[in-house]
Amino acid sequence: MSPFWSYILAAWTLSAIVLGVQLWRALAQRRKADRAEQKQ
Amino acid sequence: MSPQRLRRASAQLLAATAIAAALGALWSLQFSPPDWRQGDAVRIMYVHVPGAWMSLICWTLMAALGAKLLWRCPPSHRAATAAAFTTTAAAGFWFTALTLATGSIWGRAIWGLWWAWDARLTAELILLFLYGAILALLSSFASEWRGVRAAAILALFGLLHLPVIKFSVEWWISLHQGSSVFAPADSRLPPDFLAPLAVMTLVYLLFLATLITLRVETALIKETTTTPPPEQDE
Repeated sequence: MSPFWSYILAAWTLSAIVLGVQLWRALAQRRKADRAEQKQ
Repeated sequence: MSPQRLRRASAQLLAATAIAAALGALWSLQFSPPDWRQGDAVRIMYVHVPGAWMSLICWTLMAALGAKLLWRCPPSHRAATAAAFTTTAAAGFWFTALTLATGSIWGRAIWGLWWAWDARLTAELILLFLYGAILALLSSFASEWRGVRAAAILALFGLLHLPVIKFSVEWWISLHQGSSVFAPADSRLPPDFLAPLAVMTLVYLLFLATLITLRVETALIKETTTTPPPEQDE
């Protein structure tokens, strides 16, 4: 296995986490807005 | 656009992003060849370069939305445009941070350095600070609308920094490599590398579109539930 794989996995994992957290937060905000709308 | 149509669009965009991401990851990590000089480390390019492009695209989009907010935005479109603006600013900040982080990891693997005060790296770091200033302005005013307007003005002035980033590798002696995508045929990346790079760029673009659609939809739902009185232009 190439010695670069630890760097490759670090870069890809970091990217996936940062993008995933943004998406998760946007979905959570929408769920919250949905709940507020349903309460009305 | 109604929240219902945005909901359909965001679901479709999310599905397209997931499919493109699976294809892009498989292609970039498994099926694309190693570089003859960098070996497998070239696979970092598939997350680094799209991130760098997105940092510039987000700023350009933010400036366009900022111009619309400042000059040509009817009150009925304000909430949606402001939501798109703030989402693009936050996404741009994170794309820039990712570019610096993945670039640093790539630099450590290939140059043996986590960081160098190189023209391209420093220019990208300044862009991160500019995004930070935009986010600070957005949350610094009691009136959300004032914060958005102040950030929109900075977004327009900040456009001047984009050519500095793009041409930094030509204007100064740089450790960072020059353009290898929009470059003459003899120094352009071979198709084996360009194809997965194009797919990963599409993933990032779809991701941004999904995020903006979700946030605009949320802003419109909130607008219908809270219905605040529209603020007057000063």
